Amino acid sequence: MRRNIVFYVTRQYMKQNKGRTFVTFIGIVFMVILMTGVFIGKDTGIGYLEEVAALKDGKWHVSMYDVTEEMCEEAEALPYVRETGRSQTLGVTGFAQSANEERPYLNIKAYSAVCFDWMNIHLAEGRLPENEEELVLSRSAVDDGAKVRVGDWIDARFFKRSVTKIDEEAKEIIFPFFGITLKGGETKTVPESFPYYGENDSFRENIEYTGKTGRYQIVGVIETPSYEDPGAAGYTAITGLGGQAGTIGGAGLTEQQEERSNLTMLFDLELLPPDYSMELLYIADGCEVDYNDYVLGFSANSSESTLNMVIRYLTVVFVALIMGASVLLIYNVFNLSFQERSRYLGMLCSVGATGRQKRSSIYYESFCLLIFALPTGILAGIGIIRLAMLVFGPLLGMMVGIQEAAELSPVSVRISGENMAAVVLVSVFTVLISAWLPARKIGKIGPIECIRGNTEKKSRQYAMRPSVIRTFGAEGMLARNMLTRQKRRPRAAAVSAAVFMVILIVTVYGTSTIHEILDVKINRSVLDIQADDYDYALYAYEYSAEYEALKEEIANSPDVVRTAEWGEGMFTGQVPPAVYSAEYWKALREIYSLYYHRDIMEEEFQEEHMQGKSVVNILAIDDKSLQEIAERAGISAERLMDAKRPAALMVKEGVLSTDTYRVSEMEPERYRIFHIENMSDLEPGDEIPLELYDPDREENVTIPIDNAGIVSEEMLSDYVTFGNDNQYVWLLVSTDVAKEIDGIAGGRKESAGISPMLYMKMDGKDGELIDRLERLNDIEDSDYMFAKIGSQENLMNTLVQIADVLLGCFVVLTSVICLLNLFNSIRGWRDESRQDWAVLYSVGMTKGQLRKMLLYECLGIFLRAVLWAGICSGLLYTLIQAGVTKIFGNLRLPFPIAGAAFSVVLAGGVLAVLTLLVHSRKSGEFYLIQDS
Amino acid sequence: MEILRCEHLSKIYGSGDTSVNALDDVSFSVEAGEFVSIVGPSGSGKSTLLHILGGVDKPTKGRVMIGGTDIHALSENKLAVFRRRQVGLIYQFYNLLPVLNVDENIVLPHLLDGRKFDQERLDLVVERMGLTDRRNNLPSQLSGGQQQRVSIGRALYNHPAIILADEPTGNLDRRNGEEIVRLLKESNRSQKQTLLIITHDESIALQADRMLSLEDGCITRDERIRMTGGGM
Repeated sequence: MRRNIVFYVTRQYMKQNKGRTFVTFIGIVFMVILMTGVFIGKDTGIGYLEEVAALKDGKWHVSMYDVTEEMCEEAEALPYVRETGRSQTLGVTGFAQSANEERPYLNIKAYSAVCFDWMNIHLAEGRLPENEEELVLSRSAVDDGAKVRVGDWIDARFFKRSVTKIDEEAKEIIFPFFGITLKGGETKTVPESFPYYGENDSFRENIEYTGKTGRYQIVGVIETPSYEDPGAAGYTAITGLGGQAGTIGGAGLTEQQEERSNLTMLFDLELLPPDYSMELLYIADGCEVDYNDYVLGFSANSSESTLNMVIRYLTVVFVALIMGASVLLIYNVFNLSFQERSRYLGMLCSVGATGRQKRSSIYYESFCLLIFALPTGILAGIGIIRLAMLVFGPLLGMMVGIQEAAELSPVSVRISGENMAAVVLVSVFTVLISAWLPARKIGKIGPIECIRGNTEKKSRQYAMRPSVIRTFGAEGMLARNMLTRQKRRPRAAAVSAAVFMVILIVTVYGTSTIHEILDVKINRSVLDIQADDYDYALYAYEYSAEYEALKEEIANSPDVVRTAEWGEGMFTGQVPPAVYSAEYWKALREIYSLYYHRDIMEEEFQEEHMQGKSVVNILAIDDKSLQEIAERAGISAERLMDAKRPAALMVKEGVLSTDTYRVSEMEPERYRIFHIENMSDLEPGDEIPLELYDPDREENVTIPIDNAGIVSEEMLSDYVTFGNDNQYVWLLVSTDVAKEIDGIAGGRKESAGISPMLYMKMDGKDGELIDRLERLNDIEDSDYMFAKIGSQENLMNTLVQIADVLLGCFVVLTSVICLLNLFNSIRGWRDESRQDWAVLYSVGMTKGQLRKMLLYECLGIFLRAVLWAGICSGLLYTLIQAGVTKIFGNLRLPFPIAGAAFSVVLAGGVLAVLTLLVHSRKSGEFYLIQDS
Repeated sequence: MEILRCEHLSKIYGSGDTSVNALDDVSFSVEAGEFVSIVGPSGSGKSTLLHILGGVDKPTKGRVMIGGTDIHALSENKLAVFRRRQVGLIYQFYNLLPVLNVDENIVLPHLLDGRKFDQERLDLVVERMGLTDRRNNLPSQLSGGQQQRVSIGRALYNHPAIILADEPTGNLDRRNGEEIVRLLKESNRSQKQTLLIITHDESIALQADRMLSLEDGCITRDERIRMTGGGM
């Protein structure tokens, strides 16, 4: 005898309905996969990104350079500092074994043990040094043919390098890539990366021994460190750093090392306070502090609390949407089988089964499925995560600009007890909720209704509609009646289609919301020049003679196809408050009100905050682009080119927010952003009295600038886009006008002149010029920065791209659940309609007519689904917008019309295709014969 | 005039050891306007024969000629058109569409033919079936007898050449059963429609012009009771 007849009958029922049981099982499996993806995938992804990020600059979090022992101890005592490492630069020594006459030196550094790991030092041969008498040599030396082997000894006699001008005829000797200019008989110290020029007529290299010596045994060869400059005179060699205090050894090292060293820290990210950087800056007391932004950013525990909030927000949204879709899928399946289920439960009921026993049948079925679906889903989820990391890992690496990520060993899936428990609990909870409603419903139905199967009672009468028949034929009439007179049957399909649309619309909206949140909260850029057509950019401090010489050299290089010169002048000038619009001042008054935590009246605001001058920024645009922009704005470009009568275009829009506009040390009441439509009320032709500070005369000089016209950000979008820190009026001028302005306001580091930017398009090969320009970055206090365009992927871009990938995966997997749901609903619709179709077949309906009728029904279901989806999406949109606005401020979050239209079309297409597919599969198998 | 002829009809369900021979080499013909009753024990193949004659099932072997046309040689679409125009099927369990009211169920085959329905004829059929005050009701709101009358109305509305009724009174009480047979006979007489009726009820079978007895898929007796069109 069976111990529990209800469960036995339920099992039999499940076996009989294999198709539906399987689809439900697959639906639960997908839900568990998604939950695994959210909880375990998130940790794995972030862990992997940490590893990828560590490839870029190492796994350290923060480094402090040239700090005293007291500073080190103070930093090490911080509760969130988990581990520290020390390093020192010992200096330069001769390297007699070198086979490269341009690289006759060794640059020796000392690392404590952990630093080798943290700084990405990888062994090529031998082992790492274990004490201060051993060292490892860069592989570049061995590759160049240095006559050394592991086990050899190197005698070091440290010295400092300098250069002295000896060519009396030359006025000066410029090393533009190192920021060194030699005049007269000047001698200047050169950095570690300075090349070795040997004997020449222009200058002499001097060596000044420091008195330090040491003897080191080579114990290994390391892969060339990323920081080693191939053009430098010395190869890298690293020795061990001994003792806690970091005293330097070396057999027979004659002089005690200086007190100062570099401190590298690894944090316990769980304990990291939001204001840790301020604390470290305070400890460093003016010494350089370097943050490993990538590693910190990807840890999801970064100092930027908004990132953490976004990740938490995303997790909650993902879980809620997955749960919603899964609940509907499982509920739908139980609801669809209600009719059949009610028959056998009714029979059980008639022989004494209680409501509780009937309910337990539903719970039993759901948990039978869950018990197998849970491990299957978790294992499949882990497999998918692993596969995804293998496939997308290198892609993510490329996103953050790290090609080495492709060579990273396969990442292990990070499974924690907490995450596993979360997956299991949320999955069980979801299935429980899904089964609860049908169980409750079926528990209430009596035996007679169950056996008869007519729980849906109708008393109203329905008249024939000849107009419908005339317009849509018999198929239209049938479809209309199927939809309006038997609402339960198409409801499941309509709900599934609506859910499909809602999920897509909400996800599209969610994506744009996350973009906006990241953009507004993280992207604090002022402007971004669209230079994708170019390969490299050289950023200079001012329009100096040195810069002009460099520019000419670049322009004349055969490797360079073309160049474009722009200039950026932040805070360059000042204007009277009247230049700014009433709209701007109103927004600023509201910002002040938020900071002061009270409403500031207009009179008070004018008196307190509108008395001084206001800042304006200047952007110098290359002549060709400026002409095109002027043309777009319908303005004569000629007027803008005359440096003697300076004229400018004024950018129409701007942005003010409590994040970008700070009022002393105060905290605003809440975050608010204001998109200002008109930054100025000035009309074209009006004069802008631009005030510039002349550092030579130590006084303000006013230059009248003619307002040649007003251009919108949209007109400029092909050339320059403005970010969320664009809170001042921008004046767009020609390069000649910019030089004129820079001639007055520039020239000194403390003054706010205009900084030129030279964009370069190469002919496809990066020659010696690029090597030389790259060396400009290594110079301390350099006036230049040289970068490959597009290589400066910032954290925001990377996060947005990763968010896109995650959202894309989420949409795909959730869509699969929704599709299964839709497929199941349509199958249920077909199963329930079979008897009707058999009747139609017997009275002469053709397959074509059946298809037509189904498409009409489909259209009705679709329209109903669109209506429901519209209402639900509208409600969700309002809710999300209200929530997001409350948390992040009044963001611009337009309803994704295009995304919604796409979702509707896609859902309609999927509905029609699935309907025809499902119905055509067994359309010939009617049950009329058997039933009758 | 011969309206229906079936030649060597066989129908086998399943295959191998589990195969069932529902019809075994059945041949007979029916004259236009004839009223034929088919009797036999359960499982003798009566319903299978009727479905094959009505074009809703296909024979394994043999052919069915109606009005000189081999109906199973027709394409699927042509067969559907044939069914809606030439055959009126009546079932024991009515097989009405639950979402259509009485009027709509009756005119359904006509509408499927893409033709405009004749309101006067509909009124006449509804009146003859005694459903005038029920015409806006759905099948679920009708009694069994009323549902069967709708089913007959649907079979008769299109003036089909042959009416095939599969135990039309099997689900009804005696009074309703007699009423249904009266309606069918009336149609047979007045419209000269050929009527084939499967029944277990001997009294109904004996009202036919001719009685076919089926046993184990074979015709065991073909008995003429009276001349075609004869009354009781």
